[in-house]
Amino acid sequence: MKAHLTRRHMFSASHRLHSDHMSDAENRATYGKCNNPYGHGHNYMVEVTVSGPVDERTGMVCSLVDLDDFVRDQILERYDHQNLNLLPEFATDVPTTENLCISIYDIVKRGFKAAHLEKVRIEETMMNSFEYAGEEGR
Amino acid sequence: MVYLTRKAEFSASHYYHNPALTPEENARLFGKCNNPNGHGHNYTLEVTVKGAVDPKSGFVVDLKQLKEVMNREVLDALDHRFLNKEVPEFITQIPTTENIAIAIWRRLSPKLNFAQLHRVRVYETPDLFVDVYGEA
Repeated sequence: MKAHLTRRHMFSASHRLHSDHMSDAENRATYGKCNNPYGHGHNYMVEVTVSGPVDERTGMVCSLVDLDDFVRDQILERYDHQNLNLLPEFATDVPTTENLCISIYDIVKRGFKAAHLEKVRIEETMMNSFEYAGEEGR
Repeated sequence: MVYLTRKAEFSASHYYHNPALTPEENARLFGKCNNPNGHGHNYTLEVTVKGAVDPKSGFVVDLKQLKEVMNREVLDALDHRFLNKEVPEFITQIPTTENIAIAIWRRLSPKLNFAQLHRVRVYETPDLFVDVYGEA
């Protein structure tokens, strides 16, 4: 039977939502407090869900150590305690959690080959969460 | 179609070991989880059933019945047990969260003739959980 394994990790980062395609007034109207020029931060909870048949030898979809190592080295190292606006992926794209979800999904999809990536879900706060399952996703 | 989820908790101990592998391979694969004396978790189980709302009762499922089946088939068997030693499935299979979720699906699915099982989710900790949706 196929199983879906989800692992949660946290990182803290700052960002400012501001689009160069809009006037200052439009930016303020669109992003509200998130447009504050000095930025602000969140504790982001990232959930990575992978799936596959359960390996009879290990009882697992994939090695949790491998998944944790990958997330630590490729995601947490990259984003934890950073200003998202200064990272190359947000040089042109606004660092909304939608775009962050897509960036993280792409990193996992490209680099983690031990199981099928189902989706990436991010809680920006306890009240806001975002999911991305790829362009063919549900 | 409406989905209904019922939660339950159980506490159990386990360890990870594959007798077909060498002690070194077991230690490398399973790390701290390989300690044969076992360790434990407070597991959270979420059982989701789906169906149309019965116009007479307004229910997808009789929650009382669902709770009874969960208690009898799952919690009575797993709660406060050493999974490797006391639960038949895990005499031969490693009691990973994946295998626990599958075992719970297989225990519940034949007994839930009054509801359509959609998903079994098992949290080993708040930061690690497994979902199974049956063979489909």
